[in-house]
Amino acid sequence: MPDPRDEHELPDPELARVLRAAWSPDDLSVEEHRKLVAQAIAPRRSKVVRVSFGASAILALAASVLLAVWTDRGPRPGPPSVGPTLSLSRSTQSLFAQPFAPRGGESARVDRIAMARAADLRENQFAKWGVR
Amino acid sequence: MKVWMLVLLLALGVVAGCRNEGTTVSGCPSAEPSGTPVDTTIMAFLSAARSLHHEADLREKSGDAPGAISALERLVAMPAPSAAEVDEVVADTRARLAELRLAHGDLDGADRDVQAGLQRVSGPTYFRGHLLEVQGLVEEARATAFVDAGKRDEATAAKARAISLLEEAVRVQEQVIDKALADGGTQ
Repeated sequence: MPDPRDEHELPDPELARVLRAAWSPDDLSVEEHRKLVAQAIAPRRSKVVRVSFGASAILALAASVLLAVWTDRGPRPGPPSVGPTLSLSRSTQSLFAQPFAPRGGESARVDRIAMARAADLRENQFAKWGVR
Repeated sequence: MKVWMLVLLLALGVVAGCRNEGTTVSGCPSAEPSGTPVDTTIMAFLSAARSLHHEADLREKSGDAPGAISALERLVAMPAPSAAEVDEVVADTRARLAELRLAHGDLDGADRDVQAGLQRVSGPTYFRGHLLEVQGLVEEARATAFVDAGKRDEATAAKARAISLLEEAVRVQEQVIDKALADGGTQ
């Protein structure tokens, strides 16, 4: 049976190397240095990261489209107490109940349009003056 | 990732294209009303239009078609404020000018007026339908002129264009009527 003291008397090469490295470390070899630098700067784009970015982009896109559509379709929110409600410029189509006659009638149409918008203008002026 | 970016750009483009920026040309669901309050500038234009149309009536009734055309040409040459009703009045004036020119055999002049009028009204309205109708009449007159000149092929082509335009006019008018009925009638 070997004497356990003999093992301690003989220096372990690995132990000796570690102790020497701690006391007086050697420079890294060029090859080892390159290997470590290459590992450090290598792009690490995992699939999980790409999928999460893609999902976020799609969600943001869907939200922006929905917001834009709803904002356009709904009534435009104006400041509730800032300024009067004014009649806006718009198509005059609703003033006419039937298709136009093949010939003539233009003056009657412009009469009707002008009278309707004159009424709108009066309302707008009264509203601006606060007389309503 | 490039495909997603492309989709994103396309979607944003569509949304931006349909947003109402005060334009008076319809085409997107929110194009009307245009957002400009009815003001004195719009009213001044409409008042001038009214006067010039009535002046054209008086001249037409007294047999002075060139005078009527001249009055209406003054109207379409006036600086026009940006408003839907102004576009429609100008379009209607162009249709009237085209009819007057057509009655005097100026088919090319009539065609130019119709084209200019159609640029003012893009959505389905009686104004656009009326312009298409007048354009159909112009092509019908052109077909007759080709027949008289012995140009059979040209006459056939003009006749086909006339039928197509008149059918399109009917379609536009039907769309307007359907929409009016769906909205519960006119105001």
